[in-house]
Amino acid sequence: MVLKRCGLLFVAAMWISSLYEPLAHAQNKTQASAKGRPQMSKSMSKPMSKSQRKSNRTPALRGPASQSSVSSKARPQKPPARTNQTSRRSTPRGQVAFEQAQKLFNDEKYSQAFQLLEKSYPLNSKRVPTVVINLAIEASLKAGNVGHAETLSRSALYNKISWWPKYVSAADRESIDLSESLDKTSNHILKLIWLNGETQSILYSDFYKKLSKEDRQRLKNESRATYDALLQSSFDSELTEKIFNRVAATDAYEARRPYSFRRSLTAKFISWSDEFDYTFQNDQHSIGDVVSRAMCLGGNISYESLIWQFELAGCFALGKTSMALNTGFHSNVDTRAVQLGIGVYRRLNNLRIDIGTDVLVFSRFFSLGDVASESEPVSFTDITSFVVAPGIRMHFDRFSLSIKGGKTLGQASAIWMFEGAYKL
Amino acid sequence: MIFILLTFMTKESNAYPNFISYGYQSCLACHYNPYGNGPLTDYGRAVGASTLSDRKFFKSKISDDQIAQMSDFFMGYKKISEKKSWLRPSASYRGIMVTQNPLGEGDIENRYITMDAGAGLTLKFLNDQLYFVGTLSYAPPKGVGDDIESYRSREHYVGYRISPKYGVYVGMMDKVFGLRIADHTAFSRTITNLNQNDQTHGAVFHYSHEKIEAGLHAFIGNLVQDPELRQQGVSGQIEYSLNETTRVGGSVLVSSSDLQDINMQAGHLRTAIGKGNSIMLELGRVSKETLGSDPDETYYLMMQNHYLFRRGLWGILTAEAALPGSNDLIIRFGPGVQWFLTPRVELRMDLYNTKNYGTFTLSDDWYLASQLHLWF
Repeated sequence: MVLKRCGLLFVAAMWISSLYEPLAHAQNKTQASAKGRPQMSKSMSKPMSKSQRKSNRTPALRGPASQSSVSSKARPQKPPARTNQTSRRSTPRGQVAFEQAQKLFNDEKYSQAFQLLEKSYPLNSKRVPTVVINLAIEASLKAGNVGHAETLSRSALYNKISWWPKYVSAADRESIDLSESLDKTSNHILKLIWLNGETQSILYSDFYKKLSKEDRQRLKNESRATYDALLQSSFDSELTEKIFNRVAATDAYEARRPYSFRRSLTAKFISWSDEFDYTFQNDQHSIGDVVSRAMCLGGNISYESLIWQFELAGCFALGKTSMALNTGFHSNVDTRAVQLGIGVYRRLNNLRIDIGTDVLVFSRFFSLGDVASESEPVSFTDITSFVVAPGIRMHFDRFSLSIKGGKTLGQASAIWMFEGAYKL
Repeated sequence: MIFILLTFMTKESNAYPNFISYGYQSCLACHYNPYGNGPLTDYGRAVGASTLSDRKFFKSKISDDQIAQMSDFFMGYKKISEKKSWLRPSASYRGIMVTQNPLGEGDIENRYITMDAGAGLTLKFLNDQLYFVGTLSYAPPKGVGDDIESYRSREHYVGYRISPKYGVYVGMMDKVFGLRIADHTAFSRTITNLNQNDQTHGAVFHYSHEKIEAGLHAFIGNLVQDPELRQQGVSGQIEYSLNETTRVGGSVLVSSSDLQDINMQAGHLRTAIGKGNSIMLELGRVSKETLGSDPDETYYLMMQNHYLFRRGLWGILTAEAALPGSNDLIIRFGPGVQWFLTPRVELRMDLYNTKNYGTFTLSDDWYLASQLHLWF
């Protein structure tokens, strides 16, 4: 009995090993790329824990959307189950199946091509050659089953590139240099990375409303990861750009609707210059030149989407002014100012930069205080004017840093503002 | 004012420390000199061509790899790098149109200056561990009324990388101090006397390993100068990487000549905000004691932000402050645009507004700097 069982096990083992011989050439290439293991940073090259490996092998969409909210086309499906033993083919039959599937694909019979591959290969296994996986993904995609194509490509990617899961989830992913690793990666694997990004961006774009917030976030993040990685490789940059552009276009489109109110605290350094009236005790008037700087504390309320921001801002400033009057020169003259205004900003494609403009009402008040004497001016005409100040803003999480510069209408020179903001 | 501009406007430096926003933390990745400037390595040329330059003028079917392959000397003609692995010629040109008072009151004045027209030669041996770098450049007249044009070598040295960690460089180089940004008008370059013609003969010891990069520079002054003007001393810099795209650093310099003693300290930060965008910050103190004068102490702050609009095209905002005297304060803002429109061609335009909040004087000046930079 024992011998019989051993014999059966031996036959089964031989049969399984023969299953993975087809397309030896493609397989060798894949293995070669695996040997040229990417040289990642320390954190990236750490081996994954068992639980991580386990979770990485279940790449279906998580969250409610994966169960109910995604349409049948969009819904990522379970990995194709092994139907029965006859679906596994030996070397020549596997080769034949691939060639037949390729022919069906070329004849635009995508569903049939996919079904044949699904029947002939355990597509969820990492030992299936990448070229077969790629064809299956493309066939699935062309057949309109985007969810399945995404699941398959993601699963294959996680199986075939050991560093991919950590790369995708790395906080500083944009700064990770993959070029050396990707140089050693086969073209089939690069295409697999692209297919993953392509399917994810299509899913994100075409099924945006049906996806849960978590799924949107994941698809956006992971498609961006493929984009970032491929940019460092020799893969066709035009195809790569399509991934980014598709997601960005979807965001831009969707961003037109979901606006929300946000509040921020601001601290702003202002530098400006003026020509202004001042009055002597004998009621004579004269014109003086000043350059001023002040610290302006305040806040703003913005009505914003992912792309557009409309702001209402205000701040109160205390500062110092240097004055050139025809009676002499004064430095460190106390100055107060108030700014109130609106701003419109648009976020650029890289989502870290906003450009736009502020239109402000800017009032400033000077006082010579105890330096005034009989020969000195006793009163200044307070100045209120409009300021148009284009600016550029850089984001990092809740903080942003802006530099704005523009014209104080009615004055010869400019105003500069350097602003830090914190979103509440 | 024009004299001051012409004295300080010249931009020979090709160092772009803002490329930390692409993960390039050390200048050594792209330059033979570990602190930037001067000839580019083959890798630096390729990166410049295939990553940093716009590809608007290339057909879409031409890959970035192919563009990188054309980055050799003179468009890769005859592929010097393949035929003579030890020989690397280079050439560069920088010209600037300075427009005075483009927005302020007063007449508009234009002046075009050829800041730098030079050629360089790098010889590499021992698997690129030993190299000889030399440049010879045209230097413009010092200012209005000065018609003397001259040629000078701003860089000539022997470099030897003992190992990837250690390197020694002996010859004429820029002093190791602060952020070596391309803007010679920046307070961090003018106040510190680290301008386009302030190189010195000396020796640099360079260390780079994982998160730390450090350099020590012992110098004996520019031997072409009169002996009493030669600043002799030592400077050092250390940088620490907080992560892949953020570095903090500190620099010190102590030097003296028969006429002046200089003591400087600075701290700096450079960090990426997403790919291609960066913030650079330098805060420094400069103390000078000139023979027969009172000691002079100046503090400066330089911030320069780069905003990537599209590949090859950046917006630049420079904000600077200097506190040169007891109560004086000078503030300068400079928005600009930098466009590497194709490999080997850089266009840049900056509009500067400088406000002086002096104790006894005030000023509000404008100038526009439009530059053309070519390199081969």
